[in-house]
Amino acid sequence: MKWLIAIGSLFAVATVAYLVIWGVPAETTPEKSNKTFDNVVNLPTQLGAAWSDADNPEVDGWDTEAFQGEAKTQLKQLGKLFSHPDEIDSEHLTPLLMEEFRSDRLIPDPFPVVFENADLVVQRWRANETAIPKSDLPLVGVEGLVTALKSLVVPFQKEGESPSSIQSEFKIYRVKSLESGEMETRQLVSLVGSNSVNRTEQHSDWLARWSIQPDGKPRLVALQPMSIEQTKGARSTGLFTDVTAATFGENSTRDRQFLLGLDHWFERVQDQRYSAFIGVSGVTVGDVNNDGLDDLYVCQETGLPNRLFLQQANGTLQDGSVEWGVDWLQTSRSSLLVDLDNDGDQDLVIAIMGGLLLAENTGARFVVKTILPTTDDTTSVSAADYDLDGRLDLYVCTNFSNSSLGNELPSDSADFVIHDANDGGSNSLFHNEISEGNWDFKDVTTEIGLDENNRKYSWAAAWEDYDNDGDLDLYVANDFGRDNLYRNDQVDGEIQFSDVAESAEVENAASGMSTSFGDFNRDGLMDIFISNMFSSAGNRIAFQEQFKPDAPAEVRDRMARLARGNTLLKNMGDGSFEDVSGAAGIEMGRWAWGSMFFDLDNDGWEDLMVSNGFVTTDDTGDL
Amino acid sequence: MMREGRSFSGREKNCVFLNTGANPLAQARFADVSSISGLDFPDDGRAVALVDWDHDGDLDLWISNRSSPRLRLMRNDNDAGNHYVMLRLEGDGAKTNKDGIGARVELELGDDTLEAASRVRSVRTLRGGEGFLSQSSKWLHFGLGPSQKVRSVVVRWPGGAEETFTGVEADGRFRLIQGQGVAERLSIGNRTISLTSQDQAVAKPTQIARIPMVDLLSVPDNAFVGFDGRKQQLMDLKGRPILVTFWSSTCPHCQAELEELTERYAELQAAGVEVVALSIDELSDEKENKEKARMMVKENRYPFTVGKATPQIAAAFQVIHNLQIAIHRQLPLPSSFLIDEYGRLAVIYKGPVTVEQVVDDLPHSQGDRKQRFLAAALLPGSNLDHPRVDEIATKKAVRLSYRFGNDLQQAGRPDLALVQYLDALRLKPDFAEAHYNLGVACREMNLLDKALESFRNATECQVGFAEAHNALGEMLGAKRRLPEAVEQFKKAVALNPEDEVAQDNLKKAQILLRQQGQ
Repeated sequence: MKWLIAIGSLFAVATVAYLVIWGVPAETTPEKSNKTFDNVVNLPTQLGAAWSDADNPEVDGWDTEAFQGEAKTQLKQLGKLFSHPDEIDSEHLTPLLMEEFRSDRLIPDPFPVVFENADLVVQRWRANETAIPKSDLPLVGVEGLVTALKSLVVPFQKEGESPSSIQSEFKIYRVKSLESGEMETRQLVSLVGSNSVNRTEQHSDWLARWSIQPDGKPRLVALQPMSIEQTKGARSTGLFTDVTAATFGENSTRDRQFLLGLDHWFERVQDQRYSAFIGVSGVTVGDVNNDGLDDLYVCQETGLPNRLFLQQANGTLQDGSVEWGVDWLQTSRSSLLVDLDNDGDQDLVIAIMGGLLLAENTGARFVVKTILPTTDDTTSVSAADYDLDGRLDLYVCTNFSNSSLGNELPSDSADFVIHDANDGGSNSLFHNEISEGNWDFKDVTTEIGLDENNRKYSWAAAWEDYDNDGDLDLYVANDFGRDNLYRNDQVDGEIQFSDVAESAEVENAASGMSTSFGDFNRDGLMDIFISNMFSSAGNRIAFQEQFKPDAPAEVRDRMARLARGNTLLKNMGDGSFEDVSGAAGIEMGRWAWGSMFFDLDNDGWEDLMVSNGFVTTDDTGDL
Repeated sequence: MMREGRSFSGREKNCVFLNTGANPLAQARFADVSSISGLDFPDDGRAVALVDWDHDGDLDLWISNRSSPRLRLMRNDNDAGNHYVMLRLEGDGAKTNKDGIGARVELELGDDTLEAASRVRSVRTLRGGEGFLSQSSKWLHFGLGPSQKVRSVVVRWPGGAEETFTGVEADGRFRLIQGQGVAERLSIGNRTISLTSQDQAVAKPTQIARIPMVDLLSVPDNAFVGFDGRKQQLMDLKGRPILVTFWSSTCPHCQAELEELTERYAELQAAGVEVVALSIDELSDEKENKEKARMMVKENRYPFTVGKATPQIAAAFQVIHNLQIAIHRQLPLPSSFLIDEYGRLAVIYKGPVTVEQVVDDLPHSQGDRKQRFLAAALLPGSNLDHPRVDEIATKKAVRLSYRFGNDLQQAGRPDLALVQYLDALRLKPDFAEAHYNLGVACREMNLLDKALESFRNATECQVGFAEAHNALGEMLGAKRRLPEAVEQFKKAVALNPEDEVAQDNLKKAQILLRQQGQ
């Protein structure tokens, strides 16, 4: 019995007609590989499980999942009323609730102010999770709900103005069947709106009880806020404004290249790899021409030229891609502007398919010096002088392994384990050995210990001396499983990295996409932020008792972690970290990609930005 | 699903979390200020880079998106009234890298009257690349809060010592040069920046496209049915360039295209192009449309080959498209495929194509890969000339043919798979798996000599290829070359002792060999 040899292809398991040797017919019957798609289970805890099912639990037909679909429909009805606040009345609300409905006040009194500056005021209240009152809620029946909802709307309104539309969003993240036959849900509720002078947002966590009616429709029995945070902005516009159009000016490169989404370009270029399709293009800021102004380099997928935009004194951009010789059409993921040869100008590093391109800044043009071979599917690149010899070394992350072809989701590979994948690409560290115009770099990944746990689907890395011992350590954010924290040590005078993620208690990450360091609590120690996917469906499923009852606790934990969202790791100063994500309130960052610590309001405290969203097309129905 | 053009976790709004640490009441919990930040676009956001673009002392953001607009510069217009300093580091270029990347800078705020313990500190490290696919400005940004007094600035240079700098004052930009100890104030210079805020006009995507192929895939043969009911093989026309165009009687663009092809057929003939226009009306249930198509053919007396698409040939071209293009939406009508005289797909046209375009595109597949690559560029740009780039590009082309070969083999068409494997091997002659799979295809087609040769090639291209040794043994056995077969089976078993088939083969071959000896 022989299989056709295929590398990572979905079609890898074709049986080949048996060839008769010596004229005797074959007696073997084709047997199924135990690693085929036939073995796919609905929840991805097994080999070869379909990755997209992590966000599609409805396929397994749990009652609770069918229920949450109905409950979500009801909540959407509620949401519609927020877009026309004057319709919040007993007529519209009656179909949504039971006669015996009771609710707590949705905005507490008092509502403490926890932060205030000239731009905004933050108020916050949180219930004691362990002492939730079950009855005697003060607001009763449909009029009770009208009162409760109207109180939510008040902060959005301005006296004398007609009620402004409020956008609402509901995310059901827990579902539980109660012994009484009723259902209990937890949901994140976001309300966002502006009037002529203010912009306001409310983020609540509601506990709801539902009664399922004979027609299958759930009706609300009780509603209690578990937490609410309200931020009121001092103006109706955002703190940030989009000045891209003015920065590029008219008839610019931007119009042709950047006003069309990648879906447009992917319709017309011969590159069908999944790793391209998800559209991951980096941006780099650096001063290319030493005029004191930061310029912009943008990497692009195959067929679209990379762009160098030079900042002018008035803040606008001029396209310098051709002049500087950097308008390459080859797939490029990320880049760096760094001084590799210590001559005082910014050289260019680009993670292209299969390598790191290094180009020297010659004053008016970049000249390609070398391409360092790497695993094909490169992602982020970072520079650091890991051995303190005065020269910048280069670390590049890679996602897919070469054998996977990068054609489809990794779950198409039979050996793929969603919560602990170890069949990804190998990342590389190159030691800078430039001398007298020779741009030599040596791949030292293995010799210095960075090949340990180095078959992950890596997206990003950041260097930081987290243990304050004077050398730079490395954090690597990996999709589909554990991250790496490589500690930089001197062993007998030699540099040796070791993956201390487990002992430092940082390995509890999930779908790591990006990472940055910052001292968020200002204790002088560098903490770590990692963006991860948040999935309300994953949360609902993974936290239920019937979820994979036979799976080991470790697997259950990992699956739960997989959907939980972003991670903030507090540096404890003793070489370990504490996961403070929940307490810090930063988990729900949706389908997260990029993230950065940054001080938004100059108060000295590091804030966080998370960019997100997987694939949006011009269709109408979202999944 | 997404490939077919549906959203998946789409229209998600970016998130911004405000650190409320300045107030102990907030208990180290961030506030969700996504909406108030104005950064909550429903874009498919990716990279984020920080820079004080307008030199006003706060951080602006460059963001890249998958969706349109794919770039945003978001200017920070916060009005919190706090102070700042911006610092640019310069290493000595000997002990410390010139950029000062990896340097840790610690600021102590507050005046001398405060106890050391109650003074506020801020630390930042200059990093070369962090976040996601991004590198931020090398200007380090420090928000000072309400404080206007920077008490001390200490830089820990990587590879160098700790150094204290004097001269840093609130609301300024300073250069810190290693070894100088005194910060150098940089004047902002003559900058008048008036970047007005404006929504970006998002352009609508379109499916209509001309796609010149960089890698040329051999098109497997398929059949269509003439309006006279006669079945024809597409590749019977091979030897000349073929334009296969799919049309429907209900599509006005198709009719216009067919008219142009008819009127200017002489030009196509002169250029040697065969046109095969296939109606997809047969695939619909609408009897009326089928009749309409028949009437169109009858009335217009098209000078080129017309026929009815079979479900197979229509599906085949969709598959050929999907194999190479990331978005797998159903092909629009009309859609055309230009196949060169060697049977390789040269250009895909989604939407109408003109005679002029076809004639222009005829030389496309004759150029070398670099020429095709530049011709296929979506916007003008340059080719990165380097052997490593060529190597990666070749690998991509090889995989395309190889994968398609496997698919065809899977579909039970070793005859078609064989062509793909040969294409792959032409580009990468030492591709062991392709040799092996070619051997399998040949074996199925009873081309035993070819199979034997392919398996042998596989064993030679890849040391330790157990399956290939076994398969080669089987071929040798079939040829009654028993001693050689035994040798191959032994290798296979040595490489993979658990391979029961190879063990069995070895036993049988040894028995036969012994029987022969007697």
